[in-house]
Amino acid sequence: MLKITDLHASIEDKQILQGINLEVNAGEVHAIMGPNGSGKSTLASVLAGREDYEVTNGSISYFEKDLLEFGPEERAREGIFLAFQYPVEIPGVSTTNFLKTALNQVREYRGEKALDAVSFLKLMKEKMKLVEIDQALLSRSLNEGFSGGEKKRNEIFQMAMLEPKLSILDETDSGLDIDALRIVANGVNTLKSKDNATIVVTHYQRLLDYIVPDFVHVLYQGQIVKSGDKSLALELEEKGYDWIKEEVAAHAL
Amino acid sequence: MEETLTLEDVISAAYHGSSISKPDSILKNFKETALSEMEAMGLPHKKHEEYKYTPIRKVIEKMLQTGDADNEYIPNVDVSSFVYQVEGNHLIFVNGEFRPDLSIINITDGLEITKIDESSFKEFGEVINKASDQSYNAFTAWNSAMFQNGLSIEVAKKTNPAPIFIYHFYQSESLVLSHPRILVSVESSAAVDITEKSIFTNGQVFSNNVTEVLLQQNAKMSLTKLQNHDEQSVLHDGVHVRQARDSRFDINTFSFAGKMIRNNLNISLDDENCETNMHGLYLLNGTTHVDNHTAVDHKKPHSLSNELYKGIVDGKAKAVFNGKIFVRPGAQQTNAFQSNNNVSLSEGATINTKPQLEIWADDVKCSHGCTIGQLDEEAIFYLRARGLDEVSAKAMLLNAFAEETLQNVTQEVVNSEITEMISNRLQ
Ligand SMILES: Nc1ncnc2c1ncn2[C@@H]1O[C@H](COP(=O)(O)OP(=O)(O)O)[C@@H](O)[C@H]1O
Ligand SMILES: [Mg+2]
Repeated sequence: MLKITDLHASIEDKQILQGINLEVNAGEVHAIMGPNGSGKSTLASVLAGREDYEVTNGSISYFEKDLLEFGPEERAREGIFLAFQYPVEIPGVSTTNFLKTALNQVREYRGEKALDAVSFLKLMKEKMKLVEIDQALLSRSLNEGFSGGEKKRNEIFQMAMLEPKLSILDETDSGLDIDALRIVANGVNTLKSKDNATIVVTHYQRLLDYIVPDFVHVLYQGQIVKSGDKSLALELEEKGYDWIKEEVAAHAL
Repeated sequence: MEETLTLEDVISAAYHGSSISKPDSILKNFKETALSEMEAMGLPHKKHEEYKYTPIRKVIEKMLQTGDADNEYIPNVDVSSFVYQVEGNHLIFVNGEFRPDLSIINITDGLEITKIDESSFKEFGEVINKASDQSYNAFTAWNSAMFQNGLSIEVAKKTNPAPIFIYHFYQSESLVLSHPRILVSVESSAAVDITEKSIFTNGQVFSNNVTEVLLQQNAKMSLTKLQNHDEQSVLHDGVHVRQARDSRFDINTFSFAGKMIRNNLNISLDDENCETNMHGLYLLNGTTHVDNHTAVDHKKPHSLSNELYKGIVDGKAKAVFNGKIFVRPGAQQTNAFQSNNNVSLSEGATINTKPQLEIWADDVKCSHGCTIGQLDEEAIFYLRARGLDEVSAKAMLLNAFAEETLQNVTQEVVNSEITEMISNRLQ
């Protein structure tokens, strides 16, 4: 589904990603871990098409297509979804309000018929249950005055509505209490199928108890320096990142 | 030696050359006084502090150089093509003159609608200039000298008549110089809702509008202005309001297009416990120039004024906002709020915004804020990442930004027309 090769990306002339290689297939869950500032959100943003980042080298192919040729909206329509680490506040625009237009533009792109108001509402109701989110919240200005948990649940709700093929969850667990974490994880797991894939960016092993990864990668200084299975996450939880940093330093000598 | 005529000379000559100067009556006295006041004050030059960003004098001079107004031309007015299809009184002005014969006036309970002319003028001698005396300037005087067939709307006490729609229709084969004059008097505990818009067909228009509003005790009035003008047209629009105790005045000004629009809004809160809501939206592109100068004068305690103007400025358009708030000594417990927020969509757009607060009382709540910004790139990216194309994403953000200014537009047809105009513009 996704093949990232030797990806280099910079922002404001600062090199952040320094040669990422990663392959994700349908049905898989990949966890990306790593210390703060290592480039996890940058990778997620580059995948979603944020234009502030410049890809200076390497390639990303997605279903055999050159992803870097697409703008953010085309990527979304092709099935890429980013759950933002810091979802923006948009005064005067509610989730219901933009999601209806967004969903119908996505459907049109996929050659499907636009949903009328009633079908849209029905779909909403169904997906709302999944993440236990209130309709009132969806009618309010996006993220304005939302709690941390509400913001993240709203992200997963949108994911459920858009039915992506590749979901990238950027620290969706941060700021969640244990109940909210379970709700979010349950939502993600319900949406999982053999046809879609998930990349979970996280700091903590905690979320991975609920969303069990097939692969765990450690991102450090803009590179994937270690990959393994879910036991790697446990090891990181126990030992922290210092040993990884030391390994990298030793390697560099 | 070549004599150069000033703009005032040209105006004076036009006055003396027209039929307006003929009748010998109190109307003539009024007009001649106004003419000499106009000449004495002079139309503001660019050096004039209040007009430094809006060179309207120069624009008028240029227009007058291109030709004369054709007073012989008889416009062809098809009223049914532009009036709102809703119940109410539809009042038609043609090239600045009120035309009862073309108007639809049939739900008149509580209303007295009169043409102000030679024969009726004596009824209005006491009220004309009453609302504008404090803000009287050369444009008002010019209007007083030149208006023909003004409109008076009187709302009887304790009535709530059907809505009023005023249409300014313009048509000519050359230049139109128009001076519509409107007097509105709302008696105690009455309420009235007025919408005003312009329809342009042919010709180059300069319109110098003067509207005077007198609100008696506990009276209410809502005025919505739709300024979607022809790109050659120039408007100077003075609205002068006096509010008595417990009265409420709402004004909503929407400016979309035109060569130049200058709105002068002057509100005098003469007594206690008044409420005033001033909303405005300017949505500009091309080379449109819109200037909103507003002033609200709190003279007595316990009144509230609320001002919210928003602007979206694209292309090489220019927007000017100046908001004055006066709180006189003794006007304690005044609440006065003002904000002017702008989004600039292009490098070529110019926005000048200036709050001007003069507060002479100590127990007051006043706030003001002016912002000029761009669209939030983060928000655009967020919406695009959900599948919305860039144009829709921006339109959605701008619509959300503008929406607040529509909340006091009570007439549904007008509200949806404006909503649609905003959406169309932002596509
Ligand atoms: N807009 C920006 N301008 C400059 N540096 C940035 C910007 N965004 C991120 N960075 C830098 O890029 C590095 C990686 O950041 P990020 O991808 O957010 O890391 P992570 O998500 O792994 O914590 C950090 O050093 C951060 O300071
Ligand atoms: Mg991050």
